[in-house]
Amino acid sequence: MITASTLITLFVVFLGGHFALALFRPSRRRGAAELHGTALLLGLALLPALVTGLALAIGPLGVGLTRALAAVLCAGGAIALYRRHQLKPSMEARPPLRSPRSAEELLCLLGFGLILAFGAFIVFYTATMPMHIFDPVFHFAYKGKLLYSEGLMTSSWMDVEDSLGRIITHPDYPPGVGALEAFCGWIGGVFSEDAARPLFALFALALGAFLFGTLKDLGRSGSWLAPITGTLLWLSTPFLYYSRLPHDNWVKGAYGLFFGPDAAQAKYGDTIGPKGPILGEWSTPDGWTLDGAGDLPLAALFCSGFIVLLRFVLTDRERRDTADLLIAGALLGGGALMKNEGLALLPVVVIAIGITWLLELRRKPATALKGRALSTPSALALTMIVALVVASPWLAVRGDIPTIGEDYPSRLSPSGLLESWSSTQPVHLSPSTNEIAEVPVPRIVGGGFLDAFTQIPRFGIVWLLFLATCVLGLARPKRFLRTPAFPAALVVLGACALYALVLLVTPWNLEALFNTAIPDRLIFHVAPLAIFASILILDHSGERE
Amino acid sequence: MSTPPPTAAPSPLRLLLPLVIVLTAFPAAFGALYTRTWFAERQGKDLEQQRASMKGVPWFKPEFRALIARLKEHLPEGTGILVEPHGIDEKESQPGGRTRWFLYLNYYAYPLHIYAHEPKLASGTLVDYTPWIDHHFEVLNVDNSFQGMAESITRERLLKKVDLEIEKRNIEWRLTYLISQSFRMENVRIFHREDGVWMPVDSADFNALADSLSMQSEVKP
Repeated sequence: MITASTLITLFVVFLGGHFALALFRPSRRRGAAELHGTALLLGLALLPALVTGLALAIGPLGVGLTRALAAVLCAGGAIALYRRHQLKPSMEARPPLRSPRSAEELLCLLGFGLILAFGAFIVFYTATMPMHIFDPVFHFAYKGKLLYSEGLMTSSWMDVEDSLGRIITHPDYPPGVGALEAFCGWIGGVFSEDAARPLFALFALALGAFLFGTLKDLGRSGSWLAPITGTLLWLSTPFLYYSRLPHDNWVKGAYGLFFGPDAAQAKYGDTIGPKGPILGEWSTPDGWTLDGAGDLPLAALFCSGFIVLLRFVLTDRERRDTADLLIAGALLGGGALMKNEGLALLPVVVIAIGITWLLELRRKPATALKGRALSTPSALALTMIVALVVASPWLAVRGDIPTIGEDYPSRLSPSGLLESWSSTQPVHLSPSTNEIAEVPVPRIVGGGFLDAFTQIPRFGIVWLLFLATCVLGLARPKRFLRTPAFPAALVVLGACALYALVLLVTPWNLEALFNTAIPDRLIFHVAPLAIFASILILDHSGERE
Repeated sequence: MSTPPPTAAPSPLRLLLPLVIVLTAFPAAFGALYTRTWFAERQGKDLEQQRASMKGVPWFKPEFRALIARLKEHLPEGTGILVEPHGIDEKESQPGGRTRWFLYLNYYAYPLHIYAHEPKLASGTLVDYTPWIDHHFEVLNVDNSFQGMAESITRERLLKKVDLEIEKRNIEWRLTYLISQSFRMENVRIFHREDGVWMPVDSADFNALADSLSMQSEVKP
């Protein structure tokens, strides 16, 4: 539900993001979509960091301090926007857009209309559905409640070690999502996960605007095809809205989706519908990502942060804008505050940018790599430092908070991996029978990923397109290595490989885990990056070498 | 970043965009279904009514919501409540995640402080749920089904330790429930701690007792 505190938090995020952007003093010109998308994403990254830091330093912010903070951020953002507006006439005029051919124009118009429609639906969906999924409520909003009432590191976070104590699921999950919800609560004077739920629409919409602006800038000059296709692909990714169909058989499931559970019940008898035996409760639509879990925030902040970093690294040395590094670091750090995977993905970024830099060293003469702006290694180091500073309020206390069962860093040792590689787990042979077989863990993990990648009803063509465009890119490697698509594809592949390794060593039962939309929720973290890479590869595939 | 050079061949995106538009049918169908459902079932209802109308969400069941409202109304913030199961519904051959009422209480009854035995197992995933249940029935013997002498000695030691933990945390209330997918108030038992002993409190007497204890604690300097 949208309340006054939801709307005020929205303004604080938006204007606070513009305030931060102005403080970073960017010199690179941005179109309206990229500018406001970046500002929103910055607000969504930095506000939780600020709230977490203050909660650690002084305890719960309370209503008065929060409202004062909101006023400062809004005033700063309003001044920044006003000054930007004043400076606008002096900016260099943009080249006129090429007039598209009529069929293309019509398609683009239809695509843009659908982008607006999905954007509107996202707002409606987050505003009208009570928060109801297990993880958003019990893992994330609970931490919001604790931050709101007690702050960090109280007995509610820590008292799980004795034979009797408090309950807190995944106490070591970062508090970024909860911090945003707590801020919204302080604004209104009462904590409500349902008032904060509409804010999750911002992550999807801000990333949509960011992708639109970035693809417009990087795509073929003058064409709207890349930004519209990429943004539509993102906003129409089914996994944003639902994580499963009403039936395991996807033909029956799709029928239920298109014609409703009642019609499907009538057609397929008792195997589908509100009281059907397999997915009986589907009549309450799910929707993991927009309900308030950390996966969508991480996907939005991580992907946008990486793309901003990429734009710095791939720009000629003389034209690089150091503000991009501050923005990238803030977004990546914000991602690390949303889910632990955000921290685990930082080394993947370092490796991908490192490989890109080494390839560039081989390709370009040394003189071309010199200039006044920061070199790629220094830029990468600065970005990582900023990211760690943003995540530092959490990193400072994370080691003292108890972990429950998951200690992935120590499990990911060579011996741990070898042991998992040869181990087996029980798996039901079919959903309708109780027949169980012991299956090697690597096969279960591989099967889970294959299922997630190929499920068109859940991910559309995102993953199949990514695979096809990577093959297409590799067919002309020289060009592929020069485009931003290459490092983006490296990060996507690196993240998937990392997640596969984590699932190999996980202490949990994989079949039970896969019933909670894993690995879909994990690969979702880099789905926008896969879209970005695919669109750029396709858009530039017709160019001459 | 340098601007891409002028292109020769038409962009393959001209073929991709129509495909993407066609495939929006899946989320669009979801959107249409959701919107229809919202207009038919939730439009114009307040939050609690909307929650009650949502099928398949155990923590939105009206009887559970009523218990939460009652606890929050009659117990002061920060009151400690030990929550434990006292039995398993015969229909639950393998209790699933939907029967974890202690977790739901922990969130919705906050700022009341919910305590559990073996909190690490209670806070864990479904993999930890079975050991947590076993701890109650096989170690703590909450349903008095284990009679062996050796177990009895171990249990006595553990219960003494638990008593100290309860004392240390000043937990005055205990709530037990039946492990079952359906939440029934008749399967909930409430106890109050008086001189170190758990005294059963009739559901009908709970409100008055809780209110009088709250008033006494407010009167104390």
